[in-house]
Amino acid sequence: MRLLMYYGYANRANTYIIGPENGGNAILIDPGRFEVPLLNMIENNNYYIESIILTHSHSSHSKGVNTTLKVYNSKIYAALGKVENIRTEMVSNREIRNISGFNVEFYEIPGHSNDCLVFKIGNLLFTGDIFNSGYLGTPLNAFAHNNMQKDIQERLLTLDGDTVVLPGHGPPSTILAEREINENLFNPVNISY
Amino acid sequence: MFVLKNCSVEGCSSKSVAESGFCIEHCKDYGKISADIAKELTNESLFRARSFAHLNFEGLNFNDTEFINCSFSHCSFKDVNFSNSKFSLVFFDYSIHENVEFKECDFMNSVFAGSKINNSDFSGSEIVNTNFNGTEIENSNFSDSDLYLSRFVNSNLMKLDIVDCNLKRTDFSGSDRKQIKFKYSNIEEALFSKGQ
Repeated sequence: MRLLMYYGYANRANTYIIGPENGGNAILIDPGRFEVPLLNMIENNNYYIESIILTHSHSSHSKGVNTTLKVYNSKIYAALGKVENIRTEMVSNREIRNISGFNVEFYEIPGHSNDCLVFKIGNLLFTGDIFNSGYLGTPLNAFAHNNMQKDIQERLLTLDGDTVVLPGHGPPSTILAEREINENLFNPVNISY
Repeated sequence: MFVLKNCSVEGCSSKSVAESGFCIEHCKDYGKISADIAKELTNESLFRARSFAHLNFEGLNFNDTEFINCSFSHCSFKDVNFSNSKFSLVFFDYSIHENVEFKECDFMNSVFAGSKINNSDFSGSEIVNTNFNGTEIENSNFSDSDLYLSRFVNSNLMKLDIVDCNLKRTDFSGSDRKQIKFKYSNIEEALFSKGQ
């Protein structure tokens, strides 16, 4: 398995590509923008985007889907049935799917938005805006924050400490680092609504 | 991507030393594994999807080397030279660095979270979108570097030169900073508290 990470300057968000070591069918995660450098990254590594997974439907993570579909005939996986006016294949909590040859385990963790998905492929955890290096995602309201924090504590922070955290914004991290360092887990009152 | 294997001894849940299949406690060939990997790191110029976790390196020269999707998690480095090397998605989390040279290196999307770094030199480097959260960094030099999007959240920083650096969206929230020289750096574009 090979992981490529692309930072979109326009949307200030991360897009990821997961594929086999030597090219082939790949998964594109959160194409907030589908820019030429991202296309080059895909093509130079001999990947074909067979699948797209969206962590949630906010535009900085999904706006590039339409452009991606002009280049590749991809199947889209998301928590909502329709994103950017395109029909998706809905996935649900605790579901494990084989997508482009990879086993993907989904967790529904609403809070930042109502359709947030976190998913795990091998030891890689794609957290979208729920959880990123040093912070929790901005919640919709205080109630959402409490639920989100409970879900994170129970379902994510209990994963193996060496699990790699790949957020929608910011640098990568690990579960152990988040457990010990995450600012909002220690200072939840700092979150602004 | 690198894989951090579990120790293959039944009932042991610790992580393997590099790719040996055994944790530090059960690894009988630790010295040989260390020496073989040190030799490989000294001689080769490109490493992709490799784990070097839980190893100690001392007095070695790994300069001009490219690392992609590799792990140095929980490693210890003393008097090691990585100058002019490139790191993309490389994990140094919970590692210890004493007198380590990272001069004129490229770091992209890499992780030093939870590490202790002392008397080390990162000057003249591109350190983009790299995670230094929770680190303890002392007597070290980051001058003439681009720290765009990197994070030092909840870190303890002491006696650092961060002179003439690009600090656009560099995040120092929650960090404890003592004797930091920010001269000529664009600190107005750095973040010192969440929500800025």
